[in-house]
Amino acid sequence: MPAVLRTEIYAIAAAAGSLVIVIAVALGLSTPVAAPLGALVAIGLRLMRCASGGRLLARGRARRSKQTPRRWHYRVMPVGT
Amino acid sequence: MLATAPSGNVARDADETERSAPRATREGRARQARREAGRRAARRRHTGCRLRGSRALRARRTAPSAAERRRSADVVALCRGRRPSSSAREPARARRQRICAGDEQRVARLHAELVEHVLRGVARGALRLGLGRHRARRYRKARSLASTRRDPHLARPPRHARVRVLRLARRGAPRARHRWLLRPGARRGHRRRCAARRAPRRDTARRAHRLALCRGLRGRCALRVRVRDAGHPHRAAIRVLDAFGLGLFAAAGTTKSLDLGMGGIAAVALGVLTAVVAASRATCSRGSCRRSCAPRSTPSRPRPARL
Repeated sequence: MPAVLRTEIYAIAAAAGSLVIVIAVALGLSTPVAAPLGALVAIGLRLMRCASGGRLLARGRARRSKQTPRRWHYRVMPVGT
Repeated sequence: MLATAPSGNVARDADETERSAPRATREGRARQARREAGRRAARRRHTGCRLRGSRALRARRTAPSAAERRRSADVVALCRGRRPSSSAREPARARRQRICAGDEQRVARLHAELVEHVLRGVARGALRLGLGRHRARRYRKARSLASTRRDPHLARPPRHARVRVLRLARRGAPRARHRWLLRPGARRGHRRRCAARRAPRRDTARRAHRLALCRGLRGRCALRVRVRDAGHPHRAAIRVLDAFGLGLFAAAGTTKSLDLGMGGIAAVALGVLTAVVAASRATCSRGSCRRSCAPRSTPSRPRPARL
């Protein structure tokens, strides 16, 4: 699975919106009606992802490669030295 | 046996007198037993502390000096956005020079104290202090004023606080805008080892307390700390506009493909391609994506204390 579909809900939102437009056109709706529907679906999905802070469609803990540093080691606090 | 002259240190002299006394006497044995009991009690009391036994007791008895107390009060005042009381009379420029001129170590210490006080909940709203890696190295060397040895706040936290800490520690990887703070000497994987593997289940309260002490922080708000300036200041607005751009580009690409007589799958693919390429290019132009799209990968900007 490509990373653009896995890491962020970006391409998935776009695909869902496009799919809604295609289905709506196939069902007989006119293009000026179907296009805003699809756009709304894509925008909604993307905003839901932003609001949920990345938890949408996330399964468990993200895998990290060995080369990737862990973020919480960036800060070191001088306590009790 | 050579007679030793009194060194002036009362405690050491008493210790040596006691050592030279015959142990076989009843009084000597009782004294020895009392000392042992005291040591055991101290060890029990300070199990979670970094320092053990009599060293911990001695450290706890050491009170901060007047100058240290004054400086601590200054830091608290700085945290609350007030002027430090001890240097209220001197002009701001002189104060800045006094604190900053050529004394990076001291500034680092001051900053570290500030961060520490902020983290302790003195001023949670002011938690905008970012420590980059280059500063962290300095801070690692700097000695903190409110250290584990002197801070009365490091008494055992109440039970619910310990549980809270434990839950936080077990909760898994931190999300965006949350960072784990490690004290110097802590290695990679330290947190995970502490939280997950090392101690048995029944030892949970003590382990949680040790974790809290490990970070020099206390109970409730201790382990996970929100860092507010990690990322673009307008990242919420950028995300909303990005979402709108994505939707509009997807709709435009799909409708255009359908108008041109392409099939459904091809139209969807073209819509996705248009949306992803165009919207990401629009958002990430002029290098803004480095801060808006990946706030976690960007160390936040260091912000000096208001001196």
